[in-house]
Amino acid sequence: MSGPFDGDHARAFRRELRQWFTDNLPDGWGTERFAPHADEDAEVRFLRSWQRTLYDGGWAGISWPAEYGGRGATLLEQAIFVEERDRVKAPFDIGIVGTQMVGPMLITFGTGEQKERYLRRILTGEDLWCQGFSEPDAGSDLAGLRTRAAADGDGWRLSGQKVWTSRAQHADMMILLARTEPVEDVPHRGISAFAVPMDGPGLTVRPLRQINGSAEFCEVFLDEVPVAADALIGRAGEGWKVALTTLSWERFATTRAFEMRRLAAQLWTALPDDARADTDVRTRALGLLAQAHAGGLSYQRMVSTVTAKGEVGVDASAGKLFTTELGQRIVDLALSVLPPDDVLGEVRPGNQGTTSWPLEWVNGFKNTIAAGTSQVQRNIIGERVLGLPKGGAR
Amino acid sequence: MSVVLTDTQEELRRTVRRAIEEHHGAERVIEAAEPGAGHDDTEVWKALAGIGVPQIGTPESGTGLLDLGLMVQEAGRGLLPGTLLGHALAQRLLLAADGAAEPLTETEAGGHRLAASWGLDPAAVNVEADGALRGRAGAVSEGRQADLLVLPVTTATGTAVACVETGSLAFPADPACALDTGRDWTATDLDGVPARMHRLEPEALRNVLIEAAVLLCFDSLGSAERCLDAAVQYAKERRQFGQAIGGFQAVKHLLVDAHVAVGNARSVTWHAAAVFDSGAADAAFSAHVAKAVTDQAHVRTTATGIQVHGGTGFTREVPAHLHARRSRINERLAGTPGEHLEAMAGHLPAVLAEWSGAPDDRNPAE
Ligand SMILES: Cc1cc2nc3c(=O)[nH]c(=O)nc-3n(C[C@H](O)[C@H](O)[C@H](O)COP(=O)(O)OP(=O)(O)OC[C@H]3O[C@@H](n4cnc5c(N)ncnc54)[C@H](O)[C@@H]3O)c2cc1C
Repeated sequence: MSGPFDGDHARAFRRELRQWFTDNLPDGWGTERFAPHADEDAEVRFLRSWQRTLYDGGWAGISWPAEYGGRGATLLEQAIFVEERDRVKAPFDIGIVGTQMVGPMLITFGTGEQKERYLRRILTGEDLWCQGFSEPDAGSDLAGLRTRAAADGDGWRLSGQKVWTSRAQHADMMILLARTEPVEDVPHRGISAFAVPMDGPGLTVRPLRQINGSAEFCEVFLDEVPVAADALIGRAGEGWKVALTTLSWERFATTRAFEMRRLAAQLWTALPDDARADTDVRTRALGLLAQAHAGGLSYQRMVSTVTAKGEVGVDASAGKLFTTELGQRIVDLALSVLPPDDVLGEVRPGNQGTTSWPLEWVNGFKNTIAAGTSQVQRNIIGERVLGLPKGGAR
Repeated sequence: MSVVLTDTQEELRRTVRRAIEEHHGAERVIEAAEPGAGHDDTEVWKALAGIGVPQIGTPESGTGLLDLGLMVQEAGRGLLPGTLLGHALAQRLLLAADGAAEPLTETEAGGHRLAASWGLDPAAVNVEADGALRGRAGAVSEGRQADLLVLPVTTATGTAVACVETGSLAFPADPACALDTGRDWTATDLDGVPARMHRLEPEALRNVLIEAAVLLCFDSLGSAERCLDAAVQYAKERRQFGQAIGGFQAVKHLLVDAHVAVGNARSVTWHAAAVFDSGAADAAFSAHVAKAVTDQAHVRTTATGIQVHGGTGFTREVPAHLHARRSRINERLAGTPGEHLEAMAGHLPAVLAEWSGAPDDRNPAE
């Protein structure tokens, strides 16, 4: 027998993609020869152009219909793409909110006109999207959000504040959740989703400094920002469905299965001989490699399930939870046993194609918070997969 | 290889699960594990034989290690004593040996029951000049109920698979593993016992060791799944402080962690069997990973199973402890997790190049 990732079709796809990466990765990629970018703007320009390169090569929107610029393949091919991308540590997806979350969500919820307007521009890198969900008082408890959308003529006016909005300062569009009706007994009701241009009047962005040395996420202030009627995604008051779908795709995209496999491999490769000879270190490192392999296989099994079902739902939570926590365990060991020069350097964004252990360490904290914390993933799995009650002490 | 089961495999799983529930259900499991109860699983074995389970895994049936493993997984779920598991290992030994297909068909036709020694060390038993066996057959489960004991042995010229009529054996009264009360583990001295011998090439022996590890993974996987299901069910029913205990995050999150670990065990176990069946080069690597990951998941999940049941978990009225007991012996059979991790290390150079795009290892390529 052969599994879905091992058939002739999958193998041919993988071969073609590997060759494409070999031919198209920037010169010197993966070595110190590839110079870090002078500043964030330069990096964003580089990543947008990388997205364009992917699009031109036919590797953007792999599971999206061809009519919107996608490849018209399935999530299986998308998963193979992720595996190969992470294998060579190719430039990361700067447009992840658009390419992995908003795009698939719009394919489900968007009107024909909205799909026409937004989808292809996401794939070409022309439009970067950001995610305006979290607010100062609404993180895990997202339904507690207070940003308001008031009807104004044909359109709406948006007021409130978003926070931790990644790359808002570079984004062209934001998917925003706001209240169109006051909170009553069910907080999830009365929330609506909007596609908001970032250059509208009354919208200001203030970058926050992060512990990894960048200023990726921002505060976004909305002061009576006008948007047109067709900025509404889905029906008014039914934005929660839009939010949950977007979040499921986010978990799907932030399952770091193959990234962890590579990281565990790099840790093993970097272990000095005396560390490898130490029974405790050796067993832990080998155990992490085994777990990383398991994470990759579970990811593939999840993708097979999700492809058959045609929707992501809660299936992606386990992988997101497992791989992000595994990543922390891998880096924990690296920081305790690798030579000081490898691990005690400055935490700063650097050459993307290579691995900086201090940076991996700090970013490990992000991975178990963003896209829903590990605790929240456990609640989701416990309640929606295992069917356990919500309970009072939550 | 990410495994998606076929409709036929799913159907067979359901049929076998029903048969096990009907003939060796939860009450019978607890009863059979009581001291002196004898672990008799004759009735369920007959039922399984009636639906063709013993033939699964043989080339004639067009099935392989994955299909056989799925049956063992059901046996693990149902906490069956060792007959099906022992049969599975005996079958792999006989298939690996030269000209042993015949005794295999004979036993199947005669409804004979096979047992195997999980000692799997040919050096432990030698064939003497007169063809009789001398040594010790370790870790035999349900040997007393079987007709034929199958084990690897050392001959003057190499290794062989020996088939011994259990009638010629004297099993000691004491169990060889008192920890796992759900199965009848014995070790027996072979004192010039007659046997039929079939040559086993070293390569074939290596393969059997891989298959043995993978079969145990299936047993552990089934047991872990069932133990978790029972704990989740209990967490929905048992109420304290005015609510079902599954509503407490401390309990919920414990169960979720077990759920994730069991999911990973399923991925690596199914993968290892499928890779083995495909004959791919990384079959040994996959089996080593599977045993290390699955043993750990089994041990942790079954401990969670007891903890979530509270005081009830400490009684013999629920089977949580039987799962936990099984986890502690399964991890010691066919290679411990530590041994498998170490064996895995030997395969890393090739694998790491595949994972990280950079060739291993001590001499990193520029
Ligand atoms: C790097 C980064 C990028 C981000 N990017 C974006 C973005 O682009 N767009 C966006 O909208 N948001 C973004 N976020 C926000 C992120 O989604 C939230 O930080 C996250 O959902 C947690 O919310 P919070 O920060 O308010 O923490 P809180 O919800 O206050 O949680 C604090 C702690 O309490 C725990 N906790 C909370 N509720 C429960 C519960 N019910 N049970 C158990 N424990 C609980 C949490 O697990 C956590 O440990 C980003 C965050 C980070 C770190």
